[in-house]
Amino acid sequence: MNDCSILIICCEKMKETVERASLENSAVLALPCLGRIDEAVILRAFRKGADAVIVAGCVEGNCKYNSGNYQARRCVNEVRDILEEIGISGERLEILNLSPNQAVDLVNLFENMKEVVLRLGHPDILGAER
Amino acid sequence: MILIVGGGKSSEIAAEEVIRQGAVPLRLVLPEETFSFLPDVETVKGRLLSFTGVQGNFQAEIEIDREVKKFNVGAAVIAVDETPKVSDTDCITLSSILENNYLKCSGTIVILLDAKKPSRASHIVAVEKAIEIKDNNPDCRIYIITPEVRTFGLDELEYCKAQKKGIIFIRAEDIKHSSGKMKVTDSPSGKVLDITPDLVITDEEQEVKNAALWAKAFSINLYEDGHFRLGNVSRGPVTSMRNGVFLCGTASRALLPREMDTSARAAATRAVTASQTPLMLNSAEVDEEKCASCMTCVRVCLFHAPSINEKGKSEICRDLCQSCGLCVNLCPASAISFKGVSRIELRNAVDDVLRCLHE
Ligand code: SF4
Ligand code: SF4
Repeated sequence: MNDCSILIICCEKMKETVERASLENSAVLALPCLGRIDEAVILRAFRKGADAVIVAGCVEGNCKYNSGNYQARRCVNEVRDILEEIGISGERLEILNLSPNQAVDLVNLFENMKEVVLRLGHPDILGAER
Repeated sequence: MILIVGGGKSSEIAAEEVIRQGAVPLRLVLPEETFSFLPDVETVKGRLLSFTGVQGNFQAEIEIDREVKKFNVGAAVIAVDETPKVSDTDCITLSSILENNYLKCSGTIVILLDAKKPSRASHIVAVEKAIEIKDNNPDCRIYIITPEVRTFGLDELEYCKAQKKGIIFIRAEDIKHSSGKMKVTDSPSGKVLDITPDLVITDEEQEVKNAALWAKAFSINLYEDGHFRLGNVSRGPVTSMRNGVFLCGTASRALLPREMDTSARAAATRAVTASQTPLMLNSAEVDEEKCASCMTCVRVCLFHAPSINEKGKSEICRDLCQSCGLCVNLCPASAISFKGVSRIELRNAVDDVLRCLHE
């Protein structure tokens, strides 16, 4: 299976880092701040055929707006529960506290995520568009 | 014009730096505050009633002698320094010996450094003063009692010198002081020492006076300990959480005198730069029809932007909103939206990026 697709959601500040890592099979969605992310965004991504989602925010306590990354973590935990509930492995969703000069963290996580997707295959979502 | 608030040392340095950078400072002090006179700096005594607008274009309303005047300022520097709290004991304090040169002491002198919120320089001042006293009168016994000696960097050399001169440092947390006698438990050994001091000098707690008042006027936050809250690391040093408002000196944390200097100049520099780069941010908007007046947005916004207006609905102040999107996300009635990342737009964005990926 080579057609795995992973969505990386990040904030404006991390956009450059994430894009510079130019990860294969990935799409990047940049929001002004991860505080804006809500459950619907992540679930929509799965619905639209993402095999996994990585949420990349800044280091804790470093958010320009103070609480965006905490908010994102709360949201990710919530979505993970929802995913488990509907029979999709929570491993497909990960949050990362990235610092702009440590793209390597992202690359590592991305590789792990790829393995997870290879192991689990495409998520089984009725009506998912791929 | 750069508004500088406060009358202390750091306000002077900041004002000088602002002039050096070619901008015009306006210093504001409270009517009851004492301040040092600076010939080139316009200083007004008054109260800040409101501070609206955005970075590069603020409007400050200041009440001067019961008259309200408006000023256009590009940025603001809060330079309200820590001052010693008036203590309720009649002990001699470190700052008073600094002023009165209390050098002709004899007998047993105890310098007690256990204030909860001391100034950062107090230990260094204490060590230096102790050496001075000892030099003037080698016969006196000097004890410095503190849980931990906080001399930093090269000041450690002074600490070393003090020990060589025979000043006795006692590290103690448990200090009992009553009617001229002291019982001190030396922490490392656990031994109880009895000292009968002839003179006790204490360091005093510091506070940022009127911090709450200023914080409210500028719509910025305070730490629990009464200092102004610094902006998060990604905003850079000497910032507050509001764009265009900078903090310097001991307004935000305890600093050594030379650190105060640096921070005052840094804040002045950033303020001058900020005043020349106006910032226009997108703002979140409330659909009053949908708003359920639940106050969620009011509570979650760190920038004090949303408030409940006279109609009982939420209203977001354009000047304060930094468009982080938190309230858009958390509003239970989905009443808040802002351009670029409304629910629909975000949904479409997800669809788009994934469609591109799959093609
Ligand atoms: S969170 Fe939404 S519903 Fe609640 S007060 Fe704010 S705008 Fe109104
Ligand atoms: S978008 Fe952010 S800054 Fe603006 S009102 Fe909402 S929470 Fe406050």
